[in-house]
Amino acid sequence: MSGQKSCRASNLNENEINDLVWRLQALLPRLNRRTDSRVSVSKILKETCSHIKKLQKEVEELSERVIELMESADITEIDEESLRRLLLH
Amino acid sequence: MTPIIPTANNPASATKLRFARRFLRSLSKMSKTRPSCPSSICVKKRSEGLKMAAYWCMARSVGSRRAWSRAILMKLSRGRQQHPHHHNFSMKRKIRRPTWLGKTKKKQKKKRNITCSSSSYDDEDEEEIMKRQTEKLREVVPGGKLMDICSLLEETAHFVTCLADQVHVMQTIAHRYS
Repeated sequence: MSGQKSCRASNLNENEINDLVWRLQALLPRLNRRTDSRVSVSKILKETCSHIKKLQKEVEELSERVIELMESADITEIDEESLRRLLLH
Repeated sequence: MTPIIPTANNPASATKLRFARRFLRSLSKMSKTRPSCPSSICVKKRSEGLKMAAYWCMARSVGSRRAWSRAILMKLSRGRQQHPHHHNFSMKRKIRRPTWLGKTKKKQKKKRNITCSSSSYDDEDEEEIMKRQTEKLREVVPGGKLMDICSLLEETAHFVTCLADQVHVMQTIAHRYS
């Protein structure tokens, strides 16, 4: 019964998709605290989009800031070792 | 100089450190080519170039094992090929930039006031909303338009993690300079 088979396949897919969407929720700072209440899939997707846009905007602003700072400071002051220590702690 | 050894139980930080090293190298290249009297337009162009360099460095650090990083590398290397004499991405010619590389600051168009009345949402299917949100996600994730839904969700999770790492490294550098 190809009809039943496709129905089972689509069920599996749905579970897989739901699983991936819950994993996304764990990455979103505004939604991952509320683990007890169920958040809808569409809300998670919407929040993911706005989170990505927010991060992209931060990259843009940080690029501007670093360029402005570059005019005054000397880059060779930051060595990889001190940056590694800053990032790991 | 001690080599940067990634910790085995935290592979995410290995990518982060690779990105940090590459990004620092880009920064030092850019600082050597800085103009003596920078105009505001020049600063704007250089910060655009640095932004592109950041995405390039992150995509290089992840390598070709992810569809989103491959998409970034392909898109940005095309830009580089058109301007081989530019070490950084100074984008002199207007190339149509995909939304996943972030939009340049433009005058914001006045948004239409869409009043979200509850009745309109009742009429709309949950499936319709899902479809719409998925399409929006495809636009912001590099290479998203070519992926099936499962790959899209997986790639999005990895992309979000790496983007957050990228922001953290850039914040650390900015904080260190200031």
